[in-house]
Amino acid sequence: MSRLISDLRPVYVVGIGFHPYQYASETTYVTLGLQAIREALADAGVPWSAVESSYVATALLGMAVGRPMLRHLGALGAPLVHIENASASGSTAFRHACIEVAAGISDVALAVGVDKVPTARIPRSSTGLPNLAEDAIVPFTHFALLTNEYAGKYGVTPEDIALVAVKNHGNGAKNPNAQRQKVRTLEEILGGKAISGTLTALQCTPVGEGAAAVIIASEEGIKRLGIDPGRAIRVASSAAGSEEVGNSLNPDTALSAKIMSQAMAEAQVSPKELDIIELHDAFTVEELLYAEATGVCEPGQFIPLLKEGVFDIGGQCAISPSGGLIAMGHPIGPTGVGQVGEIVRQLRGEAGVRQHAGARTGLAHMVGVGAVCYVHVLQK
Amino acid sequence: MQHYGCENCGSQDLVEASLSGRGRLVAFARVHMHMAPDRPAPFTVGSVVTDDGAVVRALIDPGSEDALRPDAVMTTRLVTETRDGRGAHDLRFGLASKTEA
Repeated sequence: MSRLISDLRPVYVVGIGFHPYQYASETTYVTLGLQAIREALADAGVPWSAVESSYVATALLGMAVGRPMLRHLGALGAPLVHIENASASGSTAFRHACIEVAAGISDVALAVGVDKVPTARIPRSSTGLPNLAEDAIVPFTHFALLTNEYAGKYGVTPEDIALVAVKNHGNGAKNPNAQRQKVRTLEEILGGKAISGTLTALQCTPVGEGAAAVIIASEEGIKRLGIDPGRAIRVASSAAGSEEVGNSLNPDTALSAKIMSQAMAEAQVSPKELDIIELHDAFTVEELLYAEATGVCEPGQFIPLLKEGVFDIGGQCAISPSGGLIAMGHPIGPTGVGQVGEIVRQLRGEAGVRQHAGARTGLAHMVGVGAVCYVHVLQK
Repeated sequence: MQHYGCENCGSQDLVEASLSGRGRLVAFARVHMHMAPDRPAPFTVGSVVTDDGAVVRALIDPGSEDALRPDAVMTTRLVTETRDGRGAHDLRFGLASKTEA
């Protein structure tokens, strides 16, 4: 019989760390990753020798880049695996690190995501199947089409949809780890570089680099290592899936709704109980689609509620308080791990100027090209 | 045509079928920026649900761009292929003529 993570022993996030997301630089990926890991270890108050297993998420760095990075923490011989799952690479690494600890194989594990902008395009191998528009519809154009469809279906304007970027840039301006840390007006966002359809550059996630790390521990690990249990955040659920046949227009949203529902059921929480949501807002329309998929509001109702401030920090449910992919950034491998880091910071009450007061439950959501979807619910 | 296997059931016993080449426009987008050098922007793409129920994404015939609207009847047409190694023609969608609609 199959089991859920919540059927196994409890798992907690006990340490978080980042190298700020940033535009492409000469900084090596080793520097990026080590900063995030060392910060996470210090946050947990555990030595590197306590980490029994490591999951390294990267999509753009090439083969087997983990050991050349981790050896500088002390090459102690612990198991190491690399995970590539497109935009969901970091979320996938987090899930499998949690599974290892929940299963009792390890008491303490590391999930780290690190990536840099590739110097040359890394093409996906061809499937050999022809497509009428294979070279014309890149991700931002896929989401430009979904923007057009949503606007027509629910009678909202491009200006309405761009308000998501106003909110997320505002949140990112309060986050020292965000790639974009500048408050933007609606006029600035709409007047920026036109990309595809009604999407402008400030409504699209920036390409960048960075790292995020989390330390995961069992209750036994927390006791044995003397970790502060008051700052440990429970991983209440983990759900994952891939695209099903039958929804060719918007597979990501249908898949997200299903996996979010599974994750909330496993955690025994309703959408109205979510205080924090970090989701895959690589393009503004995605926040509308995925927020509605969680059930925090009915389809087509996101924009009116956004205008009321319901999804602001301090509102009913803070969505993308980190700045989301639009402002915090989306360096690929780190992104899903970084979402968990933001939610842990919020649930601990340690988010400073962007703290959502009283946050007790958070949901992290990523999709990846394929499509795959990973959702985690964390609780104080 | 693919012969790898059926997305519904995995069967390799596949039968070729022709689509009608007629459908309705679900969404469209004018692409302002595009990296591929042999597909220079601007151009317009669209999502079309064919009368057979298939969802197809394709380039839109430039002659139709200014009058696009959701649910418009669209039909296929062959245009001259401008990219190397792709044959003589490319298949695009455009607004149906009054007789086609």
